[in-house]
Amino acid sequence: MKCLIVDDDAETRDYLVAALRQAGHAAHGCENAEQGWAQLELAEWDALILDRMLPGDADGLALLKRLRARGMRLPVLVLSALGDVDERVLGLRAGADDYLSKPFSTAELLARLENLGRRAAPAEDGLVLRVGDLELDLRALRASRNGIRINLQQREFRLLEYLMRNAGTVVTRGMLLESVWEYHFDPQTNVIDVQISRLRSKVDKDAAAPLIHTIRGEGYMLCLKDADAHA
Amino acid sequence: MRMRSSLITSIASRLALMYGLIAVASVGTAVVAFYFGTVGVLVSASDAKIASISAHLREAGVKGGIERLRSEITLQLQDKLDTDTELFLLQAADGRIVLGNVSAFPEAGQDDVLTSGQLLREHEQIRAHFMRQRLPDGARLLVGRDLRDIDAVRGVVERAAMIGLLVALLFVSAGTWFLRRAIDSRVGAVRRIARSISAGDLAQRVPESGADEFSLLSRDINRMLAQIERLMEGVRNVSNAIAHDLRTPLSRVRNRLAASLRPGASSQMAEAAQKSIEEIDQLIVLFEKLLRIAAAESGVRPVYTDRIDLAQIAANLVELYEAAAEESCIMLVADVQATPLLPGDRDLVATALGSLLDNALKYAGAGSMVTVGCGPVPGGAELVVRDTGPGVPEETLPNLTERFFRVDRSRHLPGNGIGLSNINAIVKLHGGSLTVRNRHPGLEIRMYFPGQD
Repeated sequence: MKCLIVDDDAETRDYLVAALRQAGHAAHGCENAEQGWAQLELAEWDALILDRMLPGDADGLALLKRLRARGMRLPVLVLSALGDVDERVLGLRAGADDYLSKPFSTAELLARLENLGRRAAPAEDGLVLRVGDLELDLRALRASRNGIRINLQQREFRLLEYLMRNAGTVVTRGMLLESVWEYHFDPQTNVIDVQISRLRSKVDKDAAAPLIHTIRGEGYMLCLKDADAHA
Repeated sequence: MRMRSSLITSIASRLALMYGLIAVASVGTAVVAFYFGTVGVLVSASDAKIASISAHLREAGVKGGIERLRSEITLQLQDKLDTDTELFLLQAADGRIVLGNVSAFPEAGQDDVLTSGQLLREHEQIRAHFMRQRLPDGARLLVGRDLRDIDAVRGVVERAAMIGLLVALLFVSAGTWFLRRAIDSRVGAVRRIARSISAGDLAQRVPESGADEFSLLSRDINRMLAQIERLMEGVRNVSNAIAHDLRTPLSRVRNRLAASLRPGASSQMAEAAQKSIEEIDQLIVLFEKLLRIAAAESGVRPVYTDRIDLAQIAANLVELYEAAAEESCIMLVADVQATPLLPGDRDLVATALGSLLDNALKYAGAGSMVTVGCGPVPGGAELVVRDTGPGVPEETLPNLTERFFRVDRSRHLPGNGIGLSNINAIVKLHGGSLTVRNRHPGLEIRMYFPGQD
């Protein structure tokens, strides 16, 4: 992915550029809204990482509103040092696709960014999702592994669907809670882990190769290959 | 909160009522004065006449005997002066009626005293004032006055006074009502603004028009509001600045630590960095909660435009926590009734309920049951978390929502004692209230959320 970063804090900006490049993305940093706008007009970008508070007349939200008003549809992830719930809602309403408050974990940022990139890509609107021998029929609401039907509850079905749509990339607990349960908060109990382990016991029970992998310190990933290579 | 005070406690009512009573009293005084100036004067003039004629006739009787009396009375009755209302009766000493337009002597009253009573005149009972006397020769004399004409005048005057008083009362009531309404509408405008301001809408201003006392008051209130708004804005800017200035360096530190975690780092270093990152994350969560508690304690509530469904949040969170509860050998039960939609923040309410469930799972202990209740209550709706765990020591109940307060026996468990005050802050930001009580066994925490005011 080709990512544009607009953040006035030089250290954060350099760190982000380095982290994105290391993760295999192209990245370019700008320090204010004017430079950011110039870059947006100059080239095509796959995603924008935008700091909420920027020096000068135009802050992050102003830039966001301006580019949305121009009809630019690239995914935007707002980074903010204002962590209030209100601020998050303001950011999302201004046209952000995702919102992350500082300090953020790099893994979380990368996972969310890749998720945004996938959402922006033309969706293969298949009615059946397949990863290896795991099949999810979205129309018949049926899951099966190696042809054997797996009985899933409604929420487990949505959890598995989200994991399969993001197959091969890390999804964090926060992303799962936001997408599958549609709540944004931080449970102190390991509720997501328990839900995943239930799903795993159904999906990977008798299979030779497990599909749902725990990525330590980051989240989960559904993929065919051995996850240790990623971690 | 009612917009209008009750009829009795309202200063507007009391002022208007006082003004009304003064008006009624002055009208009453005028009526009484008018009454005595007309009817009273007529009656006393007629009474004076009775006295003077009685005296005159007595003198005539003493001097000239019964015949002189007869001619005097005849003269009185024929002088065309008040002959319709003058009453006379003369009885000779032997009991013979000599002359008169009254049929008989009345029984009532004493001689030589002006008496009020009924007399029979031409077969008709009439009301009259009269005076009886006995002359030295034994003859009896009655001089009186027919009061029917005066009574007719009195009737007219009384009716007029009555109507006058009624009209005055009507005007006074209408005036009272208008005055009360005028005061209420002016005071009401101020109160409405005050309410929406205490509900968090600081941009509201009291309408100012004219230069009367209320407008001057409104102007002063508006000046005060502008000041408060400036201060609140200042506080908001300060907490935003604090948030920004704390998060930015922490963010850099966290990033540096994360960078040091890349392959090649020693395992000892990596472990230290990992721990530090976790601490930073906890610090940020704590900091966020503290800011929220400070916001709730400032008393200015945000205006929530979204409508949230408590029943749905309760059902969702029970579903989310069910598996984790089972893992800790705790039975999690939902007792959810439909609730009306309430203004609020869905994620904040989920945070509060989630925190309560985190606490219940942490403290209730294996084998206990945790119930999440939800239902409508007067004025809003309620979320209840009940457990069958050990509860908390009774004497600590009032302190539970205090910042950093922890029950002694739970100090060995991780946490910072800010959970319940954070939940309390969330409920307060919604204008609601939190109650904690022991159910023996177990703890019950109720979160009340009000509907639209």
